[in-house]
Amino acid sequence: MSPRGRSLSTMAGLALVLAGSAVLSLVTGPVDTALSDAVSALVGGDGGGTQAVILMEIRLPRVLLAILVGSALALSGVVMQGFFQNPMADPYIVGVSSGAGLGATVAMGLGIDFWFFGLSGIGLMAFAGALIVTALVYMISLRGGQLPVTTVLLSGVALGALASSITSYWMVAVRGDLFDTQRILFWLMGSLASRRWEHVHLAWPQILAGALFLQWMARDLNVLVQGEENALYLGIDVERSKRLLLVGASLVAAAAVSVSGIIGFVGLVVPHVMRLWIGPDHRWLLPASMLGGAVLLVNADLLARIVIEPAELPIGIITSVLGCPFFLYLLRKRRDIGF
Amino acid sequence: MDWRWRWWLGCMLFLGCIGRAEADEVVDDLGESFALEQPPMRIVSLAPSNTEMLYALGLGARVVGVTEFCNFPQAADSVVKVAGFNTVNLERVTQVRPDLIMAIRGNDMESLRSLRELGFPVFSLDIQSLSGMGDALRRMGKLLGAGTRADALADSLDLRVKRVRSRATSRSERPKVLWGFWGEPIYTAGAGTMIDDVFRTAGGQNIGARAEGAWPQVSLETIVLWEPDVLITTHVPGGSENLPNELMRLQQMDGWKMVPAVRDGRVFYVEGDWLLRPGPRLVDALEAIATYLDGEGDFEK
Repeated sequence: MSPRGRSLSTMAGLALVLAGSAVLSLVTGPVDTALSDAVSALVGGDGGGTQAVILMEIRLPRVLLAILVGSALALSGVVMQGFFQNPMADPYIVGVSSGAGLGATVAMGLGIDFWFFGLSGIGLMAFAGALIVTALVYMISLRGGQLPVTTVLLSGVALGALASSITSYWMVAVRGDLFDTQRILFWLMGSLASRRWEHVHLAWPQILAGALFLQWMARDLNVLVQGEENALYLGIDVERSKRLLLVGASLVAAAAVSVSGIIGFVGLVVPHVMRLWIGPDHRWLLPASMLGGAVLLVNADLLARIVIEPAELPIGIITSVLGCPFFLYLLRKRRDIGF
Repeated sequence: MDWRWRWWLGCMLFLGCIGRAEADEVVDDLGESFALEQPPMRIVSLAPSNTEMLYALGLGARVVGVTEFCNFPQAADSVVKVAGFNTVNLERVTQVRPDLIMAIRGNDMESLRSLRELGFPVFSLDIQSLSGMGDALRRMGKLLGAGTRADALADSLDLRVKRVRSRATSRSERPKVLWGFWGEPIYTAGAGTMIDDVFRTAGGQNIGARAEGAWPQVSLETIVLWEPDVLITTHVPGGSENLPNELMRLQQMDGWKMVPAVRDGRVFYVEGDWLLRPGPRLVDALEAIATYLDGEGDFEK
């Protein structure tokens, strides 16, 4: 099969699996619901019934948010790995997670957890924190219009560590009481518990815009991963592409983190799985990774909801448990992680 | 009549109306006021302390959802579990169709907001002191249409607290009391906590209040320096029956053996569910601790 045909069939398969997982997630949960109830609720049959509320107001936004966050993290991961040409890169590498964590901690510590105009104070502060840290990394690294990758990587790691330290200091020393510490810890572990339509509305515009933009940049990314020198010979404005890619990937990651907390593994491993599966062409790798990330997170969230019901597991535990064996299997089967 | 008079009269009437409306309202600890047309009959409790208060008010039959940690009274065990540690299961709550949700400040704020968005009234309590508990019980009673019972319960609890207090003031010395556990890290209760209030009411000084913050982490060095006379713990490795063995072990450990409470064998166990939950059993804990501080004989109720 041609690479293109292979990519298309893989994506079609993933889309089917995603649709199936989404339906399964809708009809599965602590409260028993039948498929027929889901259908009638979706079609808009009975408005106020308990089943309809559970399906439409509790489960549906959560499934959609899992799709959004999963695809955003995987997308950002592909771009970051391409940008840094480093298999260890993930969406959080330029300090997005630490910045978001600090923003959320400050919001919770100062009691800014009100909502205004349907926007979450914690979500906004997390988003702002992620963007501020990324902007600092960007400004520190930018020298004479150039963005040396190593400088971005190292300043990202350094600033991320600094933001994490401030977060920890806040938790230990500035906390009002144990409740705040507990809430911050849970937020940092990442979860989709108790998320509503507001969270979906808060995240989808940035993620959609970022996805379209990065898709448009896919060709540049393809050339960049061949080496910056090659890209220059091929007539690409390397520095401009790098700047745009870094901004796009950070924005998408920040949007995801602001509504879900810090969910690990998805952004690191899904891109590798897809690269092993369909090859390194980013025009296909980007959308395929989004689908893969969405599939992983929808299923992980389903398990998070039902395993220790009525309590919930932090979703990060499950993404690793689900993703790790599959990834290791692929790694054994084909040892070559081509960029 | 002069228009000014009319205006004043209007104002007064208006204020009078507001005043009257307020009389039927109950305000929760997040500042939200509730004026329910009918007393709630399907209540979800999001904290063990709330559950204990509801049952103590004789309203157990109205409780339709509790947390996984609501283990008292035993009847609460058979109620549907709708919440775990720090997580509220939105669909389970929705399924039991509550007409009131009783929350506490420790609940996940995001979940509480989701519940309000789903249309459930959420009444939140934040009980910080012994007197705050009586007040909370009275407000609950008013909200739930069980005012008489709630007042009686609150009065009897207040009376028991008052007895402990007056007995404590008649005592000449105020022993230094430390709440904690001898494993690492050592956490204790600082100023402003319920434990602080209980220790002071029982006639001791809460030595943990010398540290900064509500739940400070302290070192053994600090404890040796503080010289607490009494150590109250809510956790003994191997169960409370094991306390004598643990005490013997502590009396041989460097550092710990220098602590007056350990040296004199004044290390006592109090059920964590009594002392750490702001429910009616807190007064049981208070009385027990007062007895320990007395150091002699049984405390007379």
